[in-house]
Amino acid sequence: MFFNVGGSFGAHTRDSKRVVDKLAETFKTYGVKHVLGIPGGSIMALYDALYGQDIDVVLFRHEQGAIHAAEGYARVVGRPAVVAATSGPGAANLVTGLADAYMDSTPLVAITGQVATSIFGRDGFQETDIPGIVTPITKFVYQVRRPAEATAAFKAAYEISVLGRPGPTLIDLPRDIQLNAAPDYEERIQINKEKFIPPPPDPEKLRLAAKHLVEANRPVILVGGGVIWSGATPEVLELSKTLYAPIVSTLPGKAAVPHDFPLYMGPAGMHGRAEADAALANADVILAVGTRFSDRTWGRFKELQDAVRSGRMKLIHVDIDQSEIGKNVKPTVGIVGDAKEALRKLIDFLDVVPKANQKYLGWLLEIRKRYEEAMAKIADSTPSFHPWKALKALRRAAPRDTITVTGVGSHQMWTEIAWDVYEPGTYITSAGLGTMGFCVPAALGAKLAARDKPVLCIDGDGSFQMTMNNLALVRDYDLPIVVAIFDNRALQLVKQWQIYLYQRRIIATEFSQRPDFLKIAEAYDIDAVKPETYEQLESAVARALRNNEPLIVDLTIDSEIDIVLPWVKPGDWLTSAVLPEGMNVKLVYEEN
Amino acid sequence: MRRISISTPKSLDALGRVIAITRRAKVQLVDMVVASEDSMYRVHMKVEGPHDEVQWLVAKLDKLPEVLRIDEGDIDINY
Repeated sequence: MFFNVGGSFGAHTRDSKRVVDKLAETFKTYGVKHVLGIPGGSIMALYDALYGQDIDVVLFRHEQGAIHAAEGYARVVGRPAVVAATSGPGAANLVTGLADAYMDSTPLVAITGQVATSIFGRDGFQETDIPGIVTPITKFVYQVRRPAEATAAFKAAYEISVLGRPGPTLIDLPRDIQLNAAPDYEERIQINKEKFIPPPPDPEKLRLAAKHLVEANRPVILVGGGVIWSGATPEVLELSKTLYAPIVSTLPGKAAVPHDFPLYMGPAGMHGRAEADAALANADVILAVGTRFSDRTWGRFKELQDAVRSGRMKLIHVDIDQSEIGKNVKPTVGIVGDAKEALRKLIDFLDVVPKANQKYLGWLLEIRKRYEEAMAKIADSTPSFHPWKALKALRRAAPRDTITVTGVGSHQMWTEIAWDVYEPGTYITSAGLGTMGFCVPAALGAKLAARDKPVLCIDGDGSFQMTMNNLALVRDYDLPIVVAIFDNRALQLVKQWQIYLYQRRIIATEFSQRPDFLKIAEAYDIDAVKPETYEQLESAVARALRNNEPLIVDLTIDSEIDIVLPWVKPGDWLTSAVLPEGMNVKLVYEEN
Repeated sequence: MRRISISTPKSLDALGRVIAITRRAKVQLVDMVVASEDSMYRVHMKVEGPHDEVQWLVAKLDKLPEVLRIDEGDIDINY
């Protein structure tokens, strides 16, 4: 029954440092506190090197969970976590998370084990060409072929993940390389990472941007996730106050601005707020910061492109990533640089204080009021829980600094519309890739990063079921998160499209009543409630968050009433948003 | 038609990443030559397509840390 694990494995007989031991030391010099993942044959040596080290190894139940947790972690602390998985299936299970992190510009370092170099290409057990697979979805990927490259590759991967626009990186580490004696020198990895250091923003372009902004009649500031990474929230608010410019956000940018700032209109786009859609569509100058002009924010680009081309609208685009300038819409002024630095300098160029367009701002705020009134009426007449009103109850229950994470689906879109974020960076969602299953593991990662903060995962039943196995970590590592499941027993957002775009031909979007989420909670030793009133919901969640206790809330929602509005149908322009019944407003501004 | 010239480390992984980006560009890759020089690969491409799409490709290629140098220009350069 006993295997000889000595010899070339050398786990207990070594008298010199292995490559993995040197790597573990390098982790520490880079401030790595946690390694998330699941061990396996080809990554065992690295895990072995972490034995007894001052680095917490966090064992997930699926590699996808580990990598989403790394995303949640990074979005809280601003630094990458390390994810370690074995070769083959372990590595392949990281792919969704890497793509997600790439789309949402989240830094993380994945380390995958690989079969020994001697059997490369021989279809060895659990051999997968992971560098080949993840090439298009990583900022940097490197397969270590020589022992002296290992620490250099990790350093490059770590640094590149956070330099400039953040993103995921991966190093692939063959088993024999891991076990090799560590050389006393480091081989240089031939790359150019300096290119990720943002250039100073062009002062002439900033001057021109300032001129357009002070001359604007209906200026808007559009903020994306880049504002959060740059820490440019104070500059955005100052600009908004100076210019009387409403702020609109993308979905990831939603966490950039406190929602009780009076000129914040909310996110625009497919399931954005109507006043935000109106602000963007009727602007004569848009200052877009740290955003990549996603089709989810704009519906389609034709109107925007036409307006910019004809000069009816001036578009100023500030981004740290040069390849984003003009990618989808060619701006009037494109400025490459760090958002905070660029906006600070832009403020200095504003030599004239413009007058507020009170009529226009009043019109936007009236749209907001009408929406809230219409939704209140709809929610009050709904016999069961209405997602819009349930979010209001949850918001009252959650302290202002609560880190809120969402899954993907109708519940997520409701949070886009109706969840108020008060502190920058405290709303974490899978925006670009739209990855169901994101919530539970990302919330665990967020809690790992900030144990003193309340963490609330607002999930859907479909999304929850994709990664709920990671709930085991709640007790294993004392990560008391609160999970509120908006339980409509459907893939509701897809079903909404089936209803409106596919003549109600409902197929493969309705779930049975299995499983019982209360029993799932019990299986993981977590308290659970199935509230019957908004008061019960609010009080149960408030208590759990206050006491730092885990809780699963099964919130029954009638799928038939769960239609997320506003809705800009795919390929439509912002002003054609479908609005809730009783709202009766047009999103096209009339000057007179 | 435009010319794009790239220097990468002499690694097929780096070359693979260059190709992975290029295949997503909305341009026609008319010609591609990879020459080996000491520790480097020199990649020369002739691409045809709208100016904005060529710029998209150049900007995306320039995001790769393995792309040590990239130049874009007229096609009349002899290579």
